[in-house]
Amino acid sequence: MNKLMMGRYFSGDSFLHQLDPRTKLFATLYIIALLFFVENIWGFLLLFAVTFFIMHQTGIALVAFINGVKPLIWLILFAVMLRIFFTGGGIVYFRAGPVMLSSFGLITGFYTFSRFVLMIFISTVLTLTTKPIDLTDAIHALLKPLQIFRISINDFALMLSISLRFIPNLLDETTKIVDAQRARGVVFGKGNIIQQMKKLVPIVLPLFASSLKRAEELADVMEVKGYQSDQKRTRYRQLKWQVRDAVALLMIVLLTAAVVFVNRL
Amino acid sequence: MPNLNAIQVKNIKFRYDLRLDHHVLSDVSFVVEKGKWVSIIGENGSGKSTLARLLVGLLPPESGSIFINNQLVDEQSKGQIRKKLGIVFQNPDNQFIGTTVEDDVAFGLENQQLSYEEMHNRVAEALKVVDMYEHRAKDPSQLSGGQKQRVAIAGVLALQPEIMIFDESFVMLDPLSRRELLESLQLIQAQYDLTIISITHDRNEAALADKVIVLEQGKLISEGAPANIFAEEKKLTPPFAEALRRRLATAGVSIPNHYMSEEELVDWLCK
Ligand SMILES: Nc1ncnc2c1ncn2[C@@H]1O[C@H](COP(=O)(O)OP(=O)(O)OP(=O)(O)O)[C@@H](O)[C@H]1O
Ligand SMILES: [Mg+2]
Repeated sequence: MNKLMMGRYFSGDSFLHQLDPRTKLFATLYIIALLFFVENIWGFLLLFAVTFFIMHQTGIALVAFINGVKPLIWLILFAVMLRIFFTGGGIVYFRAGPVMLSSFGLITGFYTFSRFVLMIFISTVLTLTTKPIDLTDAIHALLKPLQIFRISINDFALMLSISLRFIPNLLDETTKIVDAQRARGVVFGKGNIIQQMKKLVPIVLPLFASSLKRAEELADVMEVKGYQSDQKRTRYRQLKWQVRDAVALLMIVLLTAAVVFVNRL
Repeated sequence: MPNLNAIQVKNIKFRYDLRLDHHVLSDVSFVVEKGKWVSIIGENGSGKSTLARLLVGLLPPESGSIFINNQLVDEQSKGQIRKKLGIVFQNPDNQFIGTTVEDDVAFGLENQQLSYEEMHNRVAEALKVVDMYEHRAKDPSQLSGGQKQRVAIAGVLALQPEIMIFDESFVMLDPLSRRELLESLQLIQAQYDLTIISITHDRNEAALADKVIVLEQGKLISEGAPANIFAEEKKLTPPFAEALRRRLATAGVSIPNHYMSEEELVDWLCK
């Protein structure tokens, strides 16, 4: 279960690992947006090539990326099928009521599939090469403009990083409680849905109690260490803009130009 | 100024549940002079951790008062007072705020709005004292219990407070590291004239203190130099040296019939 959220970061020292998290977060969002501007097959081929190049640059095995797609595969296939069978136009090969198979449908189906897969790949690159804490810093930086609306970004960022920090503890605790209940003879995953729900109660309640206690102790520590919400704080981690970030942004500009060019083909 | 009191506790009473008659602390009074090392000992549930929470103003006493550097601890003053006070709580797991070791040590410094360079210097220095500098980039799930305790200690050292309270903060350290860390702390204490309160079950550690306070069921039953405390209170398990002296005495060895510290005992044995 740990793999789900935290174990996603792969340590390494590739170009992408060393990029500033702000650059990476921005570039990821930008490329995802770009996916919706691509209008023809050449555009998608270009983006596939670029994405695979980026994935290769991370030095992480392809499996890790494929694993990112797996949990969503049915959703993707469903969306793709809808596209394929309900889009008309071009040469129609087959038709039965509202359902049809057309050349146009096949192409839009492929586009939809590519958008989903590329989106997952590119955001997986971000999460695999960026530590959660750096990602929080990047989100903090990106949200900074919201401060003019008097929204407390610092508290939000701290909340985010503390939650990230406690996810493994929570998972550990869940495993412990489940084991403890098993040792008392509770069998999970059997019986009808109501019975199964009932079995979750002795897991959720202790988990809740221990989380509350933990939160209380944590609040005490924060208090004695002088934390006050809305107060000015300095930052121990400071992100540094480097030449490679400029290079990365330049590449993003080039990619945009290439997409615009290819769209005309 | 020899009798400047770092901490003065006057007749405090405390209970968690006001519906119950039972007081977790009842009528506790003591004084800790500046620059001294005081150990608080007592059985499980005797109220040691509760006392520590009262000292830092996390819990208010029902009656009685606490003074830190002659300033009354109350709702208004506690923010100011905490700048002079650092505490390491008992459970190292639930006091790790940062995502990595160094972030955690830096947390209090960020609140004090120290400059970037100052923070990095202090974090590195504190982590070196507790011997965790090489592990500074690790996250808490990669640390052992003892390592988490060291990080918590570093977090307080980095704040450079005048008074430090340790609530069983050395229990998970292996004996050698514990000795080394206690020695480093004593050096730092002497250098900066710090006041240290250490809650502990380790009698050998308590034997090193300037003063020992014994709590029993929320009452302060005795206080004084370790020599007096461990000689008088026959109920208490004595430190190793004293235990050895008593065993030697009962075995008929003509050893002096008074409390001996480890050094005194070694000197006597080597004569
Ligand atoms: N949050 C709380 N709410 C209610 N009662 C509490 C709470 N914390 C502690 N107590 C009770 O107060 C008493 C003193 O607890 P305290 O934690 O101060 O003991 P201690 O001397 O630190 O023990 P130990 O050596 O086990 O750490 C105990 O009887 C305990 O049950
Ligand atoms: Mg305690």
